[in-house]
Amino acid sequence: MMQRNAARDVLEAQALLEIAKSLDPLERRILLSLRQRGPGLAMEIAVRVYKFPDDIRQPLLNLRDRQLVRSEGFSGSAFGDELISLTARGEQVASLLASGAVPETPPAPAEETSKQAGAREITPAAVLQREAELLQKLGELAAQQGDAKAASDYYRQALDLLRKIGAASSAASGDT
Amino acid sequence: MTVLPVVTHALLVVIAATVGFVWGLSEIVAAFKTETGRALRTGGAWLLIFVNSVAAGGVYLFAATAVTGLDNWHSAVLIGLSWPIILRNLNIKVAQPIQPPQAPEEAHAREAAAIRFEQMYAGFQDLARQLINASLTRQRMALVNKAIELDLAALEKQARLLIATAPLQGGAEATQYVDQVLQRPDVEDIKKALLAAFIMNNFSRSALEDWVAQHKSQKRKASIP
Repeated sequence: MMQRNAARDVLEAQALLEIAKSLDPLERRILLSLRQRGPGLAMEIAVRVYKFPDDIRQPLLNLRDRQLVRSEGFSGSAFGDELISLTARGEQVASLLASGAVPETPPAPAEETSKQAGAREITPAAVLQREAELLQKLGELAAQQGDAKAASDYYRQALDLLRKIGAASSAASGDT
Repeated sequence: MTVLPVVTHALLVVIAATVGFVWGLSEIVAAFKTETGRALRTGGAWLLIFVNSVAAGGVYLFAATAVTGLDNWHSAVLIGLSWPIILRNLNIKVAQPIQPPQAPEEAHAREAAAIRFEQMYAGFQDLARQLINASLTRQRMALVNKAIELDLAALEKQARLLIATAPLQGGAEATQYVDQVLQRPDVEDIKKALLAAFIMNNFSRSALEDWVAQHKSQKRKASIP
């Protein structure tokens, strides 16, 4: 049970890191400003990042779609009717950004075609590589918890995957 | 159970409630680091503190009545400190059929039939947080409304003065932003609102509050013949 929870934690942390990496600089600044200065109306959030309310409408919608921010109805002001704040997930991503664990410059999708981006995402070798990394982490966790058998199983599975990747890449280089 | 004098018992309940009070206070301080003082002056904050206090006192009273040997100040302090942990791990099952669940959906339905105090408390904390945030935002917007009554040139001057005296808060980017606000084809009130919000959000609320008060008093003095 503990092992399953630890594995889930690793996967969640990995997912949060991926989300943080995929955010553009303006979205990152918005999240960080909400973390540092707390919730606010769109006008307030815009001035915090030296933008105008129109400029941050789309980034805010993107962040809301990804469940990183939420908006609550707000009455009694002529400057906006939605109070924007971080969700629990948004707090976690903002903490990751503040800790410096996420590289400064996110991948620039504008510089690569959508075809290239799609190809990069679905490369079987990349998927296998990722799976091998996760299995390795699970093995480390199992070893930390003193379960040598489970650790050895995870490491063996990771090794098998790495061998598969190696064989596939040498076959590919042989073709070219 | 040993029957304690009412005064002693009441005092121990007060000790537990005081610990709950401090606990509630610390939650507000942690959640509203930049506006602690103002957050504490809202109804939502006092609602949270009051409930924390009453719950700590109540849990102690219940425990001391049910279990012997808890009628001392150590227990009162400990229960005052640990009641959220007790409450968060407490749930009351509304129904518990003798047969184990046949499917995951059934297990989930059974879980839903339990009253989870953790969720209730989280919901309550969320409500208090929303009330505090709404109050603070309303206060900030009232201040922006006051600032709009002043001259655009005066607001611009104040914004530039703050940027010059606090170079760590934006510097060139902030100066450029003020220029952009002034160049926008918006009506003057929108420019004033943006500048007021800029000062309040990038420097501090007090920076705008003090300046508005000072500027208004100067204007008042100037208008007296």
